[in-house]
Amino acid sequence: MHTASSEASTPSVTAKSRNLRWRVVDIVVASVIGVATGLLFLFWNNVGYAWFSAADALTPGLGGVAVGIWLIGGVLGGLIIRKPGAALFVELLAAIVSALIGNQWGIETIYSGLAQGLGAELVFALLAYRRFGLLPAMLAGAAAGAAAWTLELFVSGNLAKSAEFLGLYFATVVISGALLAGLLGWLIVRGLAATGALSRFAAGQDVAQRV
Amino acid sequence: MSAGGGVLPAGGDHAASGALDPFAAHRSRRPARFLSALNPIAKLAAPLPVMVLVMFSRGIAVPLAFVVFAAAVLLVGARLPGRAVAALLLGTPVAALVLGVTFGVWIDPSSVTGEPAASVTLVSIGDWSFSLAAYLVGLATALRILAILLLSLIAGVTSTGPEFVRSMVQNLRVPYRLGYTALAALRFVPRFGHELEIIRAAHRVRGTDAGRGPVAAVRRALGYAVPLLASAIRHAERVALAMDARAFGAHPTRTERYRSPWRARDTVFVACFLAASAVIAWLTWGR
Repeated sequence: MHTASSEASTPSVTAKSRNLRWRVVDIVVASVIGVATGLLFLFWNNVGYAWFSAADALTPGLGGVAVGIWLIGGVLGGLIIRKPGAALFVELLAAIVSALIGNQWGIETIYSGLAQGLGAELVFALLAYRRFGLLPAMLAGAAAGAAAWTLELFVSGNLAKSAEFLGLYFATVVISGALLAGLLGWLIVRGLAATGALSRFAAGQDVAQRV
Repeated sequence: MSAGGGVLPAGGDHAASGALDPFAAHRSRRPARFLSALNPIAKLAAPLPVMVLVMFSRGIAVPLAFVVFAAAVLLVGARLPGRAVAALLLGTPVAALVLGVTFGVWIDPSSVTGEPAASVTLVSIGDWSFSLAAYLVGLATALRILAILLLSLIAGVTSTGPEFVRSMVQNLRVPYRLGYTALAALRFVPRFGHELEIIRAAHRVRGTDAGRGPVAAVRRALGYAVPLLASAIRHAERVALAMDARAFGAHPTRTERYRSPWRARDTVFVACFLAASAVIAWLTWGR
């Protein structure tokens, strides 16, 4: 229901004043969302990694179910800012914050952020930065998960692991990306729009027009 | 990494440390070893092709050689605190040996049956056995990861976040509107901590109780996420207004407080690093 209405109203807003150039407020808000997401990662680096390890101990590859939260930056950035590069910028900045403040993976977090942000960005770019409903959000989350899986083939040495592991890990990461990043990110953006904090953005104006 | 402490002062003491010039402290504190005097882009660019090479290498010799090489560059080129030197010299071999087991356990046993070392069984539980060949594959994986980690530390331990941003803007033509805004946003971190305390207090005052246990902890964290983001975005809008009022981003170029030039020594460092890496790769490849 909400998907339909927000998707239907997007073209009317963007057709009126579709400006893909970044305003200063876009840059600052994207940066702040990136930093806030980075702090969320710091929390998830403990809670989520515990979940990841527990699930992975149960069945190797099942740990992917916890990955989604680490992919949420791209979805949030893409859905709120709605400009080319926003998803990549937010996810990358979040990864940099997570690495700078300190986590168990160090500087390699930044490569993960780059890959995951590119995955989400690709979906928004393929939709020509015109669709920002629930389905694009979930697709972006899933694509970020697929990109993370691809990167980990190399940097985490997953290439040497068995095909069953890789298949199971891919499925769980993609599903987790669609739900924990896509669906949750979409819900967060809707909640934020309801507070009125996004009124200077198309994401907030969609909600305002619906009332 | 020590850069983090300088860039992001913890909690409420940022007023004291940033009183005059927040960058002055760690600019004068660093006595020169050659890595500190290089452009951050040089330290990032030189190890990059080597990391790709290591990523696609097989066997133990190539990653092991580059672990030693990167550690040597770090020890010679950077003034590391004693604890970091100890972690580098003792922690790296221990990490390689332990990670070798954890990676080796998940190796598909049928993929290594052809190797002569496959007949040497280290541990066996029931009909599952952990062969030397599997351990060697795991060890190679662990060494590859450590080599990439140490190569990325060459840039990581000797330059700070602001230095990276400055050289990205000045040398790589990253738009300064993006670079410097991201740098400004990093300074919001202590503010977020303060804001989170306020939101927690507000929840407590209203008697919000999600219950106990891990599920409740996740639900509580999600309950903080939306108000925290909303207040962060409102703060960001005020900052954007202030920047717009000061005509930030109005011109295609801007003046710089600190120059981050690409000097001859940066070119020399990249050339020497790549030449040494090529020699090491040529000597060890296929062993």
